[in-house]
Amino acid sequence: MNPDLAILVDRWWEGTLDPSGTQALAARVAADPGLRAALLADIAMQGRLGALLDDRDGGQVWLAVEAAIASAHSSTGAQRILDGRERPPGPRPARRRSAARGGPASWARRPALLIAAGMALASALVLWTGAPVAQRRADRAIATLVERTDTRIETGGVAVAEVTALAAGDILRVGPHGRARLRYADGSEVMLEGGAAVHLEAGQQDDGSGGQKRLRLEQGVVTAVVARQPAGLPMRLLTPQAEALVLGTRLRLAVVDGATRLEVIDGVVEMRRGADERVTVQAGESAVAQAGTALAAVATPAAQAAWGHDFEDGGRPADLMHGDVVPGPARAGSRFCVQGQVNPNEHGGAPLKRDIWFERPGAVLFAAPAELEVSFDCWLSGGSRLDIGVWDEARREALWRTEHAVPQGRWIRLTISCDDFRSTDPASRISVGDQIKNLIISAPEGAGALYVDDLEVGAGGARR
Amino acid sequence: MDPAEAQRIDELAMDAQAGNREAFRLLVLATERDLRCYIAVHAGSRESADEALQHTYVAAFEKIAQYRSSRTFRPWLRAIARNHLVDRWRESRRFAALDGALVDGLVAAAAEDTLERDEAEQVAEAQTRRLRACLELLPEKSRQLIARRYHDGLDLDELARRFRRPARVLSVTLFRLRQTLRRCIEEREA
Repeated sequence: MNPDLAILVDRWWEGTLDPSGTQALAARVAADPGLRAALLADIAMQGRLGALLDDRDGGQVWLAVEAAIASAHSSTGAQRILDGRERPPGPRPARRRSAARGGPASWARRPALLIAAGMALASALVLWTGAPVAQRRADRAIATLVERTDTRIETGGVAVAEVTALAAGDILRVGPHGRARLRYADGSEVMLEGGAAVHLEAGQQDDGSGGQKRLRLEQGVVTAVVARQPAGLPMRLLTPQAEALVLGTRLRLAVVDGATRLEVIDGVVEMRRGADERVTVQAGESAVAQAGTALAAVATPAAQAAWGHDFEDGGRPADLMHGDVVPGPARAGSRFCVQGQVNPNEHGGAPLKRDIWFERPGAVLFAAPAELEVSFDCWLSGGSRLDIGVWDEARREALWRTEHAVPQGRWIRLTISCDDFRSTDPASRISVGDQIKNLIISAPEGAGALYVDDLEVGAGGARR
Repeated sequence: MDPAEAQRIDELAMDAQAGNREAFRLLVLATERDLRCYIAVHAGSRESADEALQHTYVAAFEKIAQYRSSRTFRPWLRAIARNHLVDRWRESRRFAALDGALVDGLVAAAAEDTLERDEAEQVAEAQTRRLRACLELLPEKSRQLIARRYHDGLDLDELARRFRRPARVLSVTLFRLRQTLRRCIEEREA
């Protein structure tokens, strides 16, 4: 394996590969079956090495399992003790701290008895307080984890699973290819991208109404949609280099390579560094906090706000992945359109479906403008249903709109607005500034043909 | 597994079935190391492995009444873990297909396939023993590099700072070390 490829593989494995690198690796893997096999074997070996060298002791595992069981069965544990079916906890020896990581690896396994003795106090406390642990967590909850993939939650230095109520002191660590989303009672949301690590901290005051929200971003990228905050209690997003005070806005905050980058999409944010330096960052502006650079707000480079095709030159657009540019059914004033390509159907309908798929490899199609609308002319024959989907890179999810009873055998114009797109999370919506990676128009009952023309994406009112 | 050990685990399982949580705790301590190894090979990341490990034990706690004492507690745990991992990889593959993440999709498909085939417990234990022995044969500096990468979890840039070598060079070195270990394991199998 040459150095270029080796480093792509390693960066992919650790989750630090950028989009162009991912594209390059994918292209090479797709083109070379031998490379594909070598890559998979190498990844398996990396997994084995990680497994072998993970020497965390069993007591830590048990604490996490016990907390998860207590959370899942909040009253059962206490009830069993009360019923006499379980012995109450014994004497409480001092808790032994587990060995610090970072020294030379030890290949020897630690005796199970020593682990059990060392963790007896913590285990006893958890056993005795099985139900109250879960109840206290619910009482202390400051946010809810509404979505998680490949995410570890740590509390008190111990990883816990099967919990959705998040409390001050919790740490969320997202794996390289994972994601997580937490939601506060006022609807504010923070989305964590792969590789992010976030600490939930106690706010300025806790008066039962939620108090001030505080999050510390240790590394990685988060996107926040923040509801209007009480006067004097802005949400505080802290990083190693700076702090952002948020009153009610939509923003993106990244800690990468020793710098903090703030991009404000909507609203206003004050960014601070130290006691004296502060800057106000408005919607459409960004600021970077890094050593040797003054804190200043600058206009964010404009993303493509609108996008579309009329296909009139007869050429195949570079971002057309599935579909063919053809003359199509006759229509005054239009020479060409795009025809749906036949594909296997994952929707459970007829064996085949017809897809028109737009995507720009390694980039986004467009950034969602305010009051996003997707409009296009379509001709459908055979079946009456049309699915229109987008991949929202900011939310890391697909959102769909299904049009039923689409007239057949004639051109009609459809307009899909922002709020029409839905995902598996009923609360999820496309927001202004969201990076849209692809657009799919699909006829899942593919007995007939699908044609699309004059495709426009823009702010509300984008029509021909 | 040693028959006496398997019997002891079965006795703990019976106690746990009777509602003894202390017995379940001891079951966890007795089985977590091997189960963690099994899961970590198939999980793809440490975060996923932790999640799967805890999910497996919570599921085992909830289903403990279904376990039939037959000295097969470890395979029973592995089956729970395997089912969870298969479901997770299937979801990951769907996610990767939507996202166009080819490499993620390939890894997910291969992981799902490996889990479906599943190697016997004895084979997995033998592989782990061989890998441990092969690691011992590496020069000290090579073992240190492997330890920093897979025990401490350092990324390439941090490794480059610690070892004062370019990340590209370390990446190739790591790849060659992994190939060396794989060949060593295969020779010991032969």
